[in-house]
Amino acid sequence: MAVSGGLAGLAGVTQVLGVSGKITILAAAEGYGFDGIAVSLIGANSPFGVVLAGLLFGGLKYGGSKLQTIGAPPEVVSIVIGSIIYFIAASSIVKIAIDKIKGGKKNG
Amino acid sequence: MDNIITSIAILLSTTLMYSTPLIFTSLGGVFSENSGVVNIGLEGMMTIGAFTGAAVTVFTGNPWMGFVAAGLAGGFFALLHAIASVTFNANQVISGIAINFLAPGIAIFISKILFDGSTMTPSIALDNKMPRYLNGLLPKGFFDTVFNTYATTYIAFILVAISWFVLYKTRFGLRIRAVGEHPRAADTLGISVYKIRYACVIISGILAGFGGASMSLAIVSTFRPTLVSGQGFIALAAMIFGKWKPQGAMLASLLFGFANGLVVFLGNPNIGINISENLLSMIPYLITLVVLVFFVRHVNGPAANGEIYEKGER
Repeated sequence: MAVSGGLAGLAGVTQVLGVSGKITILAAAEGYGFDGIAVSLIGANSPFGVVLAGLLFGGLKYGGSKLQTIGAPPEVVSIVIGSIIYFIAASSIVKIAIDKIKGGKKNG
Repeated sequence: MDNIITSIAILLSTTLMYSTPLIFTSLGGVFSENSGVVNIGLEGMMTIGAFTGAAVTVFTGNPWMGFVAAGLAGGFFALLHAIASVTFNANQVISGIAINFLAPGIAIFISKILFDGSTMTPSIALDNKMPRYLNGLLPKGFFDTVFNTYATTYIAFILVAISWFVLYKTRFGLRIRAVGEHPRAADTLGISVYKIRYACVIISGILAGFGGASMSLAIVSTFRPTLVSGQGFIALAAMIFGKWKPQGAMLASLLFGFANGLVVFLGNPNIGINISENLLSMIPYLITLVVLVFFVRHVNGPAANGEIYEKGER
């Protein structure tokens, strides 16, 4: 638990010193903490998987802010991110769909 | 002396007011988690409920229409959660987090379409807020201040009693708990684990939607994107603190509501206690931590909570 808290603290430092260069007093610090839970779960709780999942989330967030510059409103970005995570979570939908298609061919 | 009594009355009434959404939502958590599905998406379901409640009331002028619509909206997102986590074996926490992205996004998206690009719904006219049925019936003073509150508060307490009855006194409740404790055993006895879990997750979404609506229709009279901001997670904590029982969740919600009430009460400059506002707003979270560390021991949730159940070959 202490290690996890320490790492989370470091994450906060990179955010403040590296990315924004200032402390913004906002309720709910941009939701990074909760994203972290999702990242570790998508990364299947293995350090290597977490790196990949973290890159995915980083890409989604950064890509989301770029989408805003071409006129997509922020809530659409969060809908897109939500849908992506949803289908990652329910990835067996794809497997089942593939099985159905294959099974259909066998029958046909 | 009069002054103290008035203060206590105000404190109690704000406690009731702030507890109401927490009670609804934590009851939702009780249903979902007793059937073995972790529902982190409560936060998102509350947000969509708060928005739907406010929007429908703005258009129809009837708070009850808004309240019911809020339940339906919450239930719809819960259905999404159930489809992912029950049918398609998704990790329940990831699916819940996805709901927490999706639901507020969709709420704001629709709000912008309906209300000329505004992320807030217009204020609901005072007459169209949740009614206070006891208004004028009680003698002025203590009782009037405390109990002259919105109808949603009373519904919340009635629902606690109903939930307790359903969970512990009916066949359906027994099945819910069986599925949450040992889904495979329940399945071999002919209980459909999937159906029970679907029902419970949808009930939890409906209740979370009610919780959101009780914020946007009673406590304030509008929806704004920051309205819910973490209440869903606090309700989740209340449910765990209440040991996955309706009555426990209610008591925990009351405690958190009291903490919130205390913030409002002590923040009033007329009280004469000069504490920084930022320190005051820590109170609910401090109480949560203290309570969880010192008073919650040996918490045994439903044994199969969070476990994916796949129907085996028989």
